[in-house]
Amino acid sequence: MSDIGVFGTVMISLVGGAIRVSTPYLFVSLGECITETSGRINLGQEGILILGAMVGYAISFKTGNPWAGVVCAGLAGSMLGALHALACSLPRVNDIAIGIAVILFGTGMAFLVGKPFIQPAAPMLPALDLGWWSNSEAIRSALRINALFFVGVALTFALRWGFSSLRWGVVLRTVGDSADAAKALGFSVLYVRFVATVVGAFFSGVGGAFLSLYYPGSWTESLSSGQGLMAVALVIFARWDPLRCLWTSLLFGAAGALGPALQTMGFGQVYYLVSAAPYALTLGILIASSSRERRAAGAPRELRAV
Amino acid sequence: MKPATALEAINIHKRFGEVIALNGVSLKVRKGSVHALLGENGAGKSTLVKCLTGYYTPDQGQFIVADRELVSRSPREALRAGIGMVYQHFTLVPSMTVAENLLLARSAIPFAIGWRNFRREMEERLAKMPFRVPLDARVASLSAGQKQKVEILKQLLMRRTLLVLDEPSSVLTPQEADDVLGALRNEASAGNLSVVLITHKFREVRQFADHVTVLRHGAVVGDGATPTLPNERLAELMVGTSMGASVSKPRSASKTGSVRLKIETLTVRGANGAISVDDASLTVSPGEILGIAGVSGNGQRELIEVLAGQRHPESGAIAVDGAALSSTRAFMSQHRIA
Repeated sequence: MSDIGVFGTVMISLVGGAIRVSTPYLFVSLGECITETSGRINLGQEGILILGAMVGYAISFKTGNPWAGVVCAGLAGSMLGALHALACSLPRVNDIAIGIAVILFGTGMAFLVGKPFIQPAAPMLPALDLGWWSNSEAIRSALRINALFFVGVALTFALRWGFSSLRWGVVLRTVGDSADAAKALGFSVLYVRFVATVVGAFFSGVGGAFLSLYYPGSWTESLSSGQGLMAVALVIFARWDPLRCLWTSLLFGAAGALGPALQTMGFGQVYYLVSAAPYALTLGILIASSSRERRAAGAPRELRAV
Repeated sequence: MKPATALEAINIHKRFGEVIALNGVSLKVRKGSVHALLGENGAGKSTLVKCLTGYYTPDQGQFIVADRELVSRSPREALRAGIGMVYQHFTLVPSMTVAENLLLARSAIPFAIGWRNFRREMEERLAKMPFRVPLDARVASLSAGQKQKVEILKQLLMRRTLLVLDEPSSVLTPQEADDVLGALRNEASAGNLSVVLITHKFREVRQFADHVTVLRHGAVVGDGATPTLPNERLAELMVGTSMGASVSKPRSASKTGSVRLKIETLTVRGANGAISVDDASLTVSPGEILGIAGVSGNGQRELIEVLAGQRHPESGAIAVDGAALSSTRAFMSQHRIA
């Protein structure tokens, strides 16, 4: 420990923390990236994340298999996503308003059904030990990386490739960019958006399972603290590009990991101030990327709210 | 030998509630010809075309395309019969490249797109087309004329044999329109294509059409080869009465030498970041009405936004009565600007 110094230790725990904290951001932002690319905003991701966390934990506890929890969290998220998509398919319905309703509904459902699961300990997701070569405990714990993170990274590259080179990617972008063109080409706009919302919500549900099954690793009602909403903002900053969603998630993860990293070094008094870093970052990013004169570059044109 | 018919409409009727949009329209489009469909707004041109392309179902009557009856229940079926529609408003996806847009037009998009092969195929086929477009340019960055060309190329690449153009010149400059219509005219003369041109411009009818059908109130009121129908006759058919040429006096320019509004070397970027007003200068004298002309999307909106203070110019100066323009309320009331 002495050979890398205090600063080195903070940096290593920051990197490890960034990867840990970024995983739910990554899943929600990739999910939201799919939904927004189809031309619809799903603010309900926050509610979906919380419901996913609850369902993932409950199923893992009941079945003893954390991966079953992850899949069920995704399915629960999809159901909430389907609700959002169906409501938004009605004429003259506002995405944002429905999104807020979905947040409240998802959160309420999770609190209602999740009460009995606050106490028991469910089996957690496994981590890959990439620090086996080091004898420094700090490096070993930083490099103990959850398997879901790698799933998220693989998904990032799969989406990036799929958006440009697979049929569904091109159709998705068409629908999100010009509903009129999509109709003239014979695509069903509502169907594509429905699927995009449901699939996007699946990923958010998986992100929720990470919260309850790995880090922080228990089901409590204050688990998400707005991460779902921050991930929606993150997608705007990432310009609807999956790869940039990955980098931005890591940035948010680092901001979130700053508090705990400093606390382990004994700077406990600034913990609460530094805990606000992700929120300050969100605010800063939204101000920096907004412009009165220029439309957000790369924004799907059907997204009128951006 | 009787010339082959590309399209025949027989006694088409269509009504929307109380309104009769088409009242027994019949027409024949010869193969390899450019056929103009002339009429005022609301004469039924668009309704007829929408019935043909499957957006509407006619109440009565039939279409015969290439000697077979077209039962057009959906746009897809019309596409399958080889009818391509080029819309007045573009149906291109703005943030995608030209190549991606051409891909979308395929009747079957493969699950995984082999971009390299697709591009090679496109380049080979584009080499045989009457005009060129840059494959890698984003559609949003193209001019209206280039967009129209992409729309037409899309149809030609799909081997459409009957093209319907809905008022192409409403979004094109006269030069662009000549360019595009001239190329299609040549394709038609070569026998590769038949074109139905919806328009209300006599110049285009004269220059490019072999045959004209005039519609008024949902009925055919005139039909014949273009040379047999002089402009005066066409105008008469369109509006139902002969029009006296209206004469308007040219306005006399104001003689005062003073300048009320002066714009110097103004450069403005639009919402997409591209330069939309480039080094523009103009002056307006008291008592003068200045008209700004141009096909929409050529910087008029951005210019007005700058004048209204909603957009900041890149460079240049704007002065009202010699004072630099500011969009504060005080400035506006002082200089009496609305």
